[in-house]
This record gives sequence, structure tokens and C-alpha cells, in this order.
Amino acid sequence: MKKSTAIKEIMAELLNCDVENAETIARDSCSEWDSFKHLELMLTIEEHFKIKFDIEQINKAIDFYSILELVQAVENEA
Amino acid sequence: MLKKLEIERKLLGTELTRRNLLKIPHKSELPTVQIQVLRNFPFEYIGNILHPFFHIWGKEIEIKYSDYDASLSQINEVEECDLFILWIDWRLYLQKKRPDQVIGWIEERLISLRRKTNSNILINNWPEYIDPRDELYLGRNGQRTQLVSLNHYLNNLAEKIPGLYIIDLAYKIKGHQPVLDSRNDEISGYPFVDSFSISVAQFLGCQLIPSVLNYRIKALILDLDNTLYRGVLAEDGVDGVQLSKGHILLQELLLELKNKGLLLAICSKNEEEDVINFIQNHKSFKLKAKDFAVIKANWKSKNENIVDISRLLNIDISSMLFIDDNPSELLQAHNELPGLLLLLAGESGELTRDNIVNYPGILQVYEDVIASERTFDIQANIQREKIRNSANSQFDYLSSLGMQITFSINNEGHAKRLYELSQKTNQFNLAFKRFSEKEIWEIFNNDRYVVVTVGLSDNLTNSGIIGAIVCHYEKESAQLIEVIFSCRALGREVETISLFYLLQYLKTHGVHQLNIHKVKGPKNTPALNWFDRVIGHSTVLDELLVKVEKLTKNIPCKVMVEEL
Repeated sequence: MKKSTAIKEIMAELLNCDVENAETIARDSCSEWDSFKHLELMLTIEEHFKIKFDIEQINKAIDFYSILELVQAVENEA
Repeated sequence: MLKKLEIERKLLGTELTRRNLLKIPHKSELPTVQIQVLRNFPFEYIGNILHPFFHIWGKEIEIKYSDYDASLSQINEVEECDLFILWIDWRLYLQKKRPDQVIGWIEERLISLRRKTNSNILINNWPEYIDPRDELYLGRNGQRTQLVSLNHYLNNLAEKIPGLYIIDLAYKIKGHQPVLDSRNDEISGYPFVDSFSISVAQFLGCQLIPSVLNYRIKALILDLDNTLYRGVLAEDGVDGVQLSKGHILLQELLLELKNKGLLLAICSKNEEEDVINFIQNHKSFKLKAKDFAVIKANWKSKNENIVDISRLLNIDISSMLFIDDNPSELLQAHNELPGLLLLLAGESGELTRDNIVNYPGILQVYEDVIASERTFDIQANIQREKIRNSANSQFDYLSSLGMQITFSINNEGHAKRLYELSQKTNQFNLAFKRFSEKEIWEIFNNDRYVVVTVGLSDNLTNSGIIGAIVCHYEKESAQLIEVIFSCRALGREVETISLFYLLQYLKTHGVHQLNIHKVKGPKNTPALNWFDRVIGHSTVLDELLVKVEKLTKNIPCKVMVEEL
């Protein structure tokens, strides 16, 4: 499965939205995306890709594109 | 159905992921357990993934969260619910106070909560080692020493406050190093790694919460071939079947569970003689024939045998877990015996072992006080049934047993057994009361209550404390609160003899009037029938005494009174 699809699916599952809409939602405009959900989302993404973010990276994740970028960056580092 | 069993096997195993748990939808059609979490740090990372584990024991969960409040002031405004969880980051207090001071403070809060509710309370302790910096300190300089003390004091508190149980994070960290996730701690004040949170959720949802809410499995019905060993006895022979390390671990667990009071039964398509020979003579087999309350090895359908086992053990099928490696046997059991709990055995034995350990209703939150007698007593009951069938009369039958009944009055040492009887008994509980630990504590600490606990032994076995009568009296009037007897003791009029003893006691204490509270429960017909036969509409103590004396005077037994 493509990385982008997996991220969208996880976002849809956790943030209670359609997979097609995952690209359009952002942390500051989605009511479901509170601080608890944010950490849970990042932990689930870590679990899926078997990677580890640092605090800065967790805080930088604000939407689908930033998460995709972060996953790629961490995978490249490894 | 088979998909459900497969999902359950995963939920009871060790390969869990948050994503898979979150994918499992809530089931609003199931009865809901309402939990209030009073906390000073996030519980959501656990609470959010609890529901799949609750589904295994047929429940849904609803959690009400308090604000984050280090003073736990919301204890003053709690609403009634099934269970309270105090979820506390103890580090916040240990920065400022000594462990004994922290425990003194929480004790006040817990006593205040205990006064407001009869529901059980869970409180977490703290992993004694989560911070790698702890390696730099020894003795009183290190946080570890403080945490060890705190956990010790907390355990003492759980002994002291009825209905308080520890969520043992200090024990759960085993195999989870490291457990600290400093990122989580910095972002949300939640210090644990996710795999640890998942493991704690599994422990709470499968083990601790069902057990403290008195969801219990009373018997395991075990298949043999490819369940307790690898191979088929009828085909491979005694020397051909294999006991892997996992199967030995499984058998050791089963033996431990049996010693703790769970009944074991065999249900296998085999020749009984072959099975008994095999079990008795195989040098690595940990379980022996005496460890099984019932062995059903024949060529009848397994469902037929399970019904027979249920009858012999006098246990409803909804309190029994049937473990078999053959999905079609489980499917047939599901179709014909709704309510029977099912577990698909794994090939290795080790997987089955892990699944049983985690299965809801297996964990014991307190020691089963008559555990060692239970299997013997069931075996003795099968003997008694044979004696009864061959006896000429009920009198001859009872005479041949040599019954000895021992009464104790207000023996606080029997409080745990009274609690256990009140929670476990389904057939002979007249008022269908489920006393909480707090209520039992209050009963034993109030002079106006009289608790008669009843011990029973005969030529076959010592059954231990098999019943109790709880009564409240004030001047000339008394109220019979509950009459509870274990189904293992029924059919011998012990309950009627016990009532006679209580009536005599009340008479000597000036009581003239006895009001009796009875409630129809789902399965307590034996108690209600007994009430109609023995008590009826009488409320005048003297009339009752005459009536009950007539019923009991010819029952052959020896009665003793235990002096405190």
C-alpha cells in the first residue's frame, strides 16, 4: 500500500472523516483533532510504519501533507 | 462465529496494535458498564481502546472523565456508576511530599469516596523503574525508593479499604522496557510508551475489571487431542502423542487454576479407559485424573457431554469455558448451547495458555477461601448421587452420609466467604442480594446484625463454609436479609437446619416477629421453593420455630457451634 493511502486511512479512522477528505483537513480546523487525538494519530502512524518521531516532528504535523513529509523524512534518516 | 473466535484469540494474545483495536466498532446493543475516571493525567490512551476487550465478556463501556485535578476534588461530586478508576501520576506529589504523606492524603480522599458509593474502586500504583536516570541513584536519593515505598503503602491501603483494588502498573512493566516515552510526557503529560498502554488496556478490559465486577468463569471444559497435547490419542497411542514445552506450561497453569478453585472437566471423543490410563501413566502429564471434577471421554456428541458436565457440576453453561482446537466442535456448541463460552485452542499450547490467563473471569482478585475443597466436593457429590439413587429412603441416604454441620455467629473471619457466596451463588439466594465488600464490612461492624455462617462436612468430604444467613434485629422484631447456600450443599436440608438454629438464636435474644425478604432472581427458584415449603406466610417466631423444628428433628446429622 502506498504511504499516502495508509496515512489517509489512519487519519480517516482516527479523525472520523472520509478517506477522500483526509487531504483537506487540518489540525486547527478539525474539531475531532484535539491534543489527545493528535498524539494518538502520531502513535498510530509510528506503529504502522514502524518509525519514531521526535517531539519537534510530532508538533510539526498539522495536516496530511506535513505528516507524509515527516514519514518520508524519518524513513530516509533510517 | 469463527471470525469472532479468531478476533478474540488475537485480543487475548500479545500481538495487539492500537490501529486494529480502534477499528473495532462499539456495540451499543450490549449492556454498558459505566466507569468514572477521576484523574490527574490522561487515561484516554487506555480508555479509548478498552471496548474490544469488554466485548469478549459481552459488555460495552462508557467512560466519564473528570477534569485533570491534582487535588481530586471531584470526589465530592461523583455520580453513581459501576466502577471508579483513580488514575494518578504519583510523580506530581512525590516531588513535594514523602510517600507516607502522599498516601495519608489519598487515604482521606478514598475514604470520602468509599462513604459515597458501594461501587468498587480501582487505583493505579506506579512503575518502580521507568526513568533510565534512576540507574544513577541508590538508596534514598533515587526516585525508585520512593516509588517502592509508595506502592507498599498503597497495597496496605487496599487491604484496609473494602472494594479498593490496585491497577498494578509496577507489575505490568515486566517485559515492557523501556516504558517511558518522554515525548508523550512532554506533549500530554502521559509518560508511557504505546505498547505499555495497550498492555494495560488488555489487563483492565480482560482481567481486572471483569473480575472486580464479579464476572467469573467457574469451570473449564477441555478437549484432549491437539489441545492438552499434540496428537490424537486413539491414533498415535500413548507413546505417539507429544507434550511440547507450551503444553506443559498450559497444564501447569490449569493445575494452578484448579488449586485456586476453578473446576476442570474433560470432554473428549475417546475411550474413557484409554484416557484415564494415559493421564495417570504419562510421565510428563502434569494433570492427573483426580484434578478433573468430571471426565467425559466417550463417542457421544460433545454438546451432549457438556450438558451432562453442566448438570454434574451444577454450573450454568454461561459460567463455563469450552476449549477445543476443532472449530467445527466450537461452532456446534455455539449453535446448540447458546451462552457457553468458547475458546479456540492454539497449536502450541503456549498460545492457549496465554489466552486462558487473559480470558475475562479467570483472574482472581481475592483468594478463593474454599478452593482446595471444591473439586473434591464435586467428585463427592457425584458419589452422593449414586448413594442417594441406591438408598431406600431420604433418611437412609442422609444417615449414610454422616453429616456434621457447624454454625458460627458473627465470625468476621468468614466475611470474605460471605462476600464470595453472595457474589457467586445463583440458585439458592432468597433475596438475591449481591453484597458489596463495603456492605459486608458494615454488617460485621453493626451489633444489630446477626450473621450465621454454616460449615458442612460428611464421610466423603469437608465442604467448608457452604452457606450463610444474614439477619437484622431490633428489639422484638427481626428482618431476614438473606439466606445463601452453595448449590454444592443443596438436597440435604442443611439450609432448613440452619434456619432453625437462627430462629433459636433470635428467640433467646427476645425477638418475636420475623419479616422475611425474598426476591425472584433469574435462577433462584430452589430458594423460593424452599421458602414456600419451609416458611410460607408465617411471621410469628414461635409459630415458625414449631414448624421448622418438625421439618428438621428427624434429619440425621451432628450439629456443632463454633465458639469465637
